[in-house]
Amino acid sequence: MLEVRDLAVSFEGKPFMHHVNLTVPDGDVLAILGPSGSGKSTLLRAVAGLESPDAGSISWDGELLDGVPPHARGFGLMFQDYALFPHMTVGANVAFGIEGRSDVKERTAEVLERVGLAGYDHRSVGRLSGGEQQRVALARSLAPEPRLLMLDEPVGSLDRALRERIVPELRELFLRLHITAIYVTHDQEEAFTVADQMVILRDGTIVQTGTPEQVWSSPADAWVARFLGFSNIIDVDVSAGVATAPWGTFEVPALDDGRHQVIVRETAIELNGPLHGVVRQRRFRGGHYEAAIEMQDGTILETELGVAPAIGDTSFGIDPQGVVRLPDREA
Amino acid sequence: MKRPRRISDVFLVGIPLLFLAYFFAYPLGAILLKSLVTNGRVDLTPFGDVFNRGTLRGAIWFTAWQATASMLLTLAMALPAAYVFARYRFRGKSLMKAAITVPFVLPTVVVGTAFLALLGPTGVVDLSGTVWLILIAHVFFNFAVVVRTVGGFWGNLDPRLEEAARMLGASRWKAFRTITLPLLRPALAAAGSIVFLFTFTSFGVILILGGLRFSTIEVEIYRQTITYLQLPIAAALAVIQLVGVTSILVAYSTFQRRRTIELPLRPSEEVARSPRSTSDRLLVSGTLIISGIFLGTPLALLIVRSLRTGTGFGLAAYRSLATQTSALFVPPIDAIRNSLLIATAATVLAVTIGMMAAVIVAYRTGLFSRAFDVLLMLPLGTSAVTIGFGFLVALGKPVDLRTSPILLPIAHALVAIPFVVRTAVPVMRSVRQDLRDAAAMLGATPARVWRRIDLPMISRAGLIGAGFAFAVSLGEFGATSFLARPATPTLPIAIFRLLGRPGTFPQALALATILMVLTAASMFAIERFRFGEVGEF
Amino acid sequence: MQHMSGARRSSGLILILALALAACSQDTTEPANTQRPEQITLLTHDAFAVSDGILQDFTNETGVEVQILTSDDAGTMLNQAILTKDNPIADVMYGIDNTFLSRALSEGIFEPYTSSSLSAVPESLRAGDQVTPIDYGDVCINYDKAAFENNGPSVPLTLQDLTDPAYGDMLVVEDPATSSPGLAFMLATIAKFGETGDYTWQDYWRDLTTNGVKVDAGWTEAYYSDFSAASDGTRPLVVSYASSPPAEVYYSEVPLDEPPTGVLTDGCFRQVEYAGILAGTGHAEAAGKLIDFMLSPEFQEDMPLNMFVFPARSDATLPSVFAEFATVPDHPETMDPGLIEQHREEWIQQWTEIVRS
Repeated sequence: MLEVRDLAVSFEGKPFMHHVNLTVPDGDVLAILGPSGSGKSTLLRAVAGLESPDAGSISWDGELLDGVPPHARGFGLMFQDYALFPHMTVGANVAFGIEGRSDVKERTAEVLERVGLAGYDHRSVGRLSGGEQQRVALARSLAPEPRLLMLDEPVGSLDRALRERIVPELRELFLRLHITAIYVTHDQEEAFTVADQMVILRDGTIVQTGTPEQVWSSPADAWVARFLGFSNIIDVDVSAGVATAPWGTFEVPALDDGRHQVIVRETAIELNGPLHGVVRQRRFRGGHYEAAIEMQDGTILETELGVAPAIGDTSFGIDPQGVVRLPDREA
Repeated sequence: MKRPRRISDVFLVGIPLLFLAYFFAYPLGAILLKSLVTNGRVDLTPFGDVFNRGTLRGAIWFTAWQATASMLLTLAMALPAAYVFARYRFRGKSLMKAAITVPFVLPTVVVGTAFLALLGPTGVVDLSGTVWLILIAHVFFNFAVVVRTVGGFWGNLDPRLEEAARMLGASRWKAFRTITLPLLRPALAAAGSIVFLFTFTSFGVILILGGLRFSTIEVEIYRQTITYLQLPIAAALAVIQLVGVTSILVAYSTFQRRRTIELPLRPSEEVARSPRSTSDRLLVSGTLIISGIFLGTPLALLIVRSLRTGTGFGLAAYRSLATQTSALFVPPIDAIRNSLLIATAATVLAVTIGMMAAVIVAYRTGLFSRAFDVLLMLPLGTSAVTIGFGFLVALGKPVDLRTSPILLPIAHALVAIPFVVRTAVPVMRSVRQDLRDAAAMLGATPARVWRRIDLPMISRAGLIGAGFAFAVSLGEFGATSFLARPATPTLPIAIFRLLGRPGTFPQALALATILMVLTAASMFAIERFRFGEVGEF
Repeated sequence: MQHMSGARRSSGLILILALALAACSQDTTEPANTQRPEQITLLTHDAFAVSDGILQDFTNETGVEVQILTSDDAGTMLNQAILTKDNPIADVMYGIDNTFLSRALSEGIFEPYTSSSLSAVPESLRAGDQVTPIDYGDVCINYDKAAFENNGPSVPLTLQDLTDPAYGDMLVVEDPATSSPGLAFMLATIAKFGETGDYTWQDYWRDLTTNGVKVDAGWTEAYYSDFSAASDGTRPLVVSYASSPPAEVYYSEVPLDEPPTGVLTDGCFRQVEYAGILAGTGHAEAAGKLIDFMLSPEFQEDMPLNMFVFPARSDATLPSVFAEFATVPDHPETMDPGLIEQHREEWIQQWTEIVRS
């Protein structure tokens, strides 16, 4: 089990990460989600031992890792651009962490097969496609059976189709091999797919932790909500189960009175209801449609619909189930 | 910039420093002091004498500008060949690469005759008496330096960067100018600095091809020392030369300012591709042909002349080398064996010390590392006369090495170390840190990271450096001329002896041809050296 | 891990030492018997050559082994001896000639020695008790016979002839600042024409310059690039040695009845080469024996075909190619070594100024 307590790390000489606390139980996958520059890679490097923290502690199973060099921690790190050794073959790359073991050949073959690259042993890494390189990098970091595997944006440079196929496969792999992992990404869908637990990082500090469901259903604040992809963040006055927005009212039986900030999920907007607006834009997303509805005061509400909405005037309703209250902002 | 941790810096700095201190700084200091001290006081009047004399002032000025011109000309003329060798694969590539190093190795006195035949009064075009003869000769001798140093580095650069630029609308020339050239800068500066230093201290070329009109500091030092026996003035000139060289090196080092761009390096085998389009083919064949003619004609002339007998063409000269027994005709086997032995020793020494020093220069920033860098290059820019005599003055005690055969590899190594450092450093600096991190995360200790990651990737550069060191030693004729050496000669010395007397000219050329073949063969072998992962990249 | 990288480096250094020692051991010949013979070192220049077995004869006779150290040329060799005179690197120095002798003597690098064979050497060659004359050579103008055979002027006879327009653009000389024969020739003209009077040596050189004399840096360039008899060059007159024509015959593949080149006996300069015991040597007696040996008929008669010089011993037999084809000028120019030492620099500078213009 990994425990990070009150970690502070500088970046390029200036204090950056602070008050970072997280725990990764054995066999769990922790996703670290955050935009670029939020400190994800720095955090990973600190845990790996490639950066030294300014303050705080990192320990594994109770043993402090202070001063333990990276090669002695038993952690694996899969790099963003794979960092494959260009002067070695696929096989040599994968075998690098287990050289000297008696079963090097078997293990290499086994792990290559596991990532679907059986027979790639003698290939040169320079001629591999992006997906193949990614899998070699994965195989390489898996081979030594590290007690903690860290992945830094592992699918970032792959095309969407590949990504959507690989990420669930990764989750599958982690579960099957009981791998303890930290998965860093800026893409919330990836994070949701792969994680048992999540933390959201912003400007060097953690702003929310929880399971993917928890995070999804109750974002910690408007920023997190926006980062998770929610567009409809609205200030409303609630009174007797009715929310009043600048452009109209809708029912919110579960909310108590007062001024609140709420998220209206895109899926909560259904056509044919009491509210009126104008569909300005419609986007086909394969399985569903997205549309932007402009209200009379200019506010745009994003919706996700099963059928194509007609451009122009429309009426719609808001399903109270899809309205989430954000925690009150601190004064 | 990060570098492999925990390789003991003291060790890495200490050994090269000790070597340079004892075999360079100490002899240099000793001879200069001896020449400039009279009755226990340092006498600075020779400096005044130097600046008062028009000829000497003129020599100083000429030295500086011809070296600059030579450097620029060599860079310009050799760059296309560097490109072709870096980016293309073609038949006979290894052989050609080995062959272009041959001019570098030949003693000037041998090539001088060929140059005079081609570019003198009876030649294709008469350049005698002009500075062009000197400049062209400099390009001829230093061509290989640029091709191998720049070409080696270029051969690992990812061509996709240029391709990206072209896709963004840049013409071939613009992509070259704005993308490639800046990335090549470390290698260009490295090659340029070596060529500059070589031509700054150029002696044979100036003497033989310059005629009375042109003189450099080095020639004047020789004149003052050997002919006039005026050691104080020679010493003053040597100091001026050193000051000039040091300021250039300091400027160079500042210019190189640790802008460590971690470059995407790719294996040279991958970067090189066969010429496909017509323009490709034209470029490759055109460059190779022109370079071949430029470098090959003087050499061919020498070979042809070595085959001239009284009755047409034949191997008479070679035979007489083998069969004639007199002290003059040292069996070629002896001279070859000597040269190879000394060259091997010099190379091992230069590569060992050079790589150690290169680690410091590449990975350390700060004043010390820059000063260290300058110090390493200094032997190239120091007068051969001064170093040679310095050995005699300084190395008598505690162990008398003055006439020891070990001085030859040491003197050669002094000149070769700058090559090793210069070829290794740009590549070392380009190795990506994340590769090292990845290796560390896979459990590799810092030593293993060095051995499995850094070393293979810089090994190509190391081999190029080793090749240079070997070539330098094979052809070294500067400092060794001023040592008192045991009578078994190296090839250049044997050639020189045969050239110094009537009737033995064809034999001298025969021996020179043997030297050419030996050089090409050695370069070829080193090029092909593969040991584990060394050399592959 | 540091040990390992350290060990690899040390092994590199050990390898060098091993190689160096191996190289070293090529030169020393260990005798089969247990007693080590005395070893002396002979410092000489690159032109030194002696037949196989000659030095072995010396060892057999005297029990002294000779190690040879070579320097580039006489000037370098002299500098080396001077720089190390407090702790000499050799026991005997051979190859110092009259143009440098005075400097050597004034620096006191020799210790006196009079060889028992000195009486066989003509007085004219001797130079005091510090050095022993071993051989001499004459620097003379060589001419290409073929160039003067057909229509054209006849072979020049005197130095003055060379200023005649009929011989314009025919002469190539060497730079006295960088070439020993070049210096010798210049000294010859100074000795012949003098520094004062109606026609000085400077006038002579002005005339030569007007007449298109070419100056090369060294003998190799002059002889093998410009001299028409030995190259594709266009100059049939070159400053070389009186022993050059016999050398041409000796090394020719095709047997020759006569040399292709000839020698102008006017304006030759005699260069005498000496040997001396270096002061401070611990082997003065053995050194003396070597000098004696160098004056022995065996060594003296071996020299001409190896170094193309004439033996100092007047009773030495010359090899046939020398006897037949060598020209020994009756009255070569000479000059007091002290005078040479005094004025060498100034003369060369004057010469340079005249010829460069």
